[in-house]
Amino acid sequence: MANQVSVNRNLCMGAGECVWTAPKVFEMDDEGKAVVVNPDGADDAALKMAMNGCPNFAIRYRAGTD
Amino acid sequence: MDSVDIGRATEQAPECPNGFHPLDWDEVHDPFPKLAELRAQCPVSTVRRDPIPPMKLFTKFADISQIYRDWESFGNMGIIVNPVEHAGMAAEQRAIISTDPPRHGAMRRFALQALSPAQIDAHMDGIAAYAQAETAKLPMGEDVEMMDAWAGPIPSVATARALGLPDADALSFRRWVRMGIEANARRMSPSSTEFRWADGADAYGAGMFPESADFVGKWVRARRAAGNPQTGDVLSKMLDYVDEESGISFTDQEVVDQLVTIIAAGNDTTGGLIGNFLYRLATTPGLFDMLKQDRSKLIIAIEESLRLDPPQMMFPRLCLKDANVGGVNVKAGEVIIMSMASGNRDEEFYGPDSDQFRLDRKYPNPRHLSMGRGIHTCIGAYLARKVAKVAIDALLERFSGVRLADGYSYEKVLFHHFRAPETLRIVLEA
Ligand code: HEM
Ligand code: SF4
Repeated sequence: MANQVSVNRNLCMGAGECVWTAPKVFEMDDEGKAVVVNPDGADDAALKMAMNGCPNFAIRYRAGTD
Repeated sequence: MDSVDIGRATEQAPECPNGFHPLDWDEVHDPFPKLAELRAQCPVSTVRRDPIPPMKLFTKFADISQIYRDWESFGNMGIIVNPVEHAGMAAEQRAIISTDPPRHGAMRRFALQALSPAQIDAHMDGIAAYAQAETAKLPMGEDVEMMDAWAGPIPSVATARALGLPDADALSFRRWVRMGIEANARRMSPSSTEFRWADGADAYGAGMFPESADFVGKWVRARRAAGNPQTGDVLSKMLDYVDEESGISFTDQEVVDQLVTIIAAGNDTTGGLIGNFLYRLATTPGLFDMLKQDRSKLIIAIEESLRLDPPQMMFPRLCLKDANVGGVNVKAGEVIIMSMASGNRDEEFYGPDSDQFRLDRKYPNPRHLSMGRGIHTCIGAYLARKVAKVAIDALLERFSGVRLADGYSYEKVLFHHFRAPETLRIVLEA
């Protein structure tokens, strides 16, 4: 099963740290918030780094099972 | 030595060759030419200020980004640059900005109750209406000091609304924040002599913001005395907050301290952004008209203002581990300085015209370093940007132009850390 990655828009402040860490997974949308474009676009380490590096705790990530 | 990158060539950081000093307020009145020299010739240099051990000054976008993002190697010390002073503070005394994980996370989640984007959005209509009403009071065709009349009060009231404190109290925020800042400036730059707010008062001796704790404290005490009824407002939630992830909760005193931090961190900075923007509007031909006609450009214009005139120009870090940044080794215990004023104009990141205010810039991500990066990224950034936008929008709506008052020239606040007009005399055109 694919990775589960989500961004809570109530918390996302558009800091863009996730896009810097995992550019294939996250993009900024027109409202300046991050959206998930491909939950499998980075390895586990990068996804954990994106989750833990989000200043507003907006990212949830659960690794998929192959 | 765990995190030293031995694969990279390392150099020592030479003494700063052009005499730039990030802690001198008179020096940093116009720091940009000297910072450009440093980026080109000596991107990491050593600066000295007794009794602080020699500090390394970082000027490149990439190096500053690395430092900001690596919280395990670089601890926060707020705006306090002296490591001994920082070490002397107990964990509970430290503000969020000088606290490292895991306590930092609990404090951040606590503060997000008031400052999360969803919370702020709920207040924005009211804040916009306030900004419009304040703008409508401004006289046309006269010489007005805009920092006291307009750019200062609007962020104060916005922060108070977010925290659920009364507007009337908010109008004194600016005075005590300015007193604290000036007292701090006096201590760090002994050469500073002129003061507007704290003259004669050693405010710092009694804590950073002596008046404020009492101010905020009276609201907290009143709630407590009434048994803190859960009305659903921010203050009532904050007083009974327990952080689910860490189990950490805060004493009433700690709640007061955190509210004071939020007020102190959000006022002068946002006022500075609005003031810097207004100065640029008054001095950049065509800018006012262009933005008046196309408000959609305002968001990017605010980012360009933040980039070129960072309201906070630098932040220090305390090295917690040995590390390598930009080819230079730093050792645990050292203090290093990130110059956002420099990184924001790094030619390598923004191209050769990095000094230019441009609305058609193809921004990389993130747009600049002025709101910090990493886990301490400004928690008020969302509020600050929205407040600046509604204030400037109201001005564009009501007036047809702005110009500097006769005889006025840019006068920076008297503290190395900040870039904002101390006073800004403007004439608004009908
Ligand atoms: C234009 C206005 C502002 C600027 C330029 C600014 C800048 C910054 C920067 C650079 C940091 C990171 C400091 C570091 O990493 O050492 C920061 C943190 C912080 N800011 Fe702001 N700020 C602004 C407005 C605000 C507002 C409006 C508030 C609150 C209402 C606020 C509250 C805070 C707090 C509490 C922190 C500490 C966050 C943490 O440690 O997790 N700021 N700010
Ligand atoms: S790091 Fe967090 S706050 Fe920043 S854009 Fe990504 S999800 Fe949003």
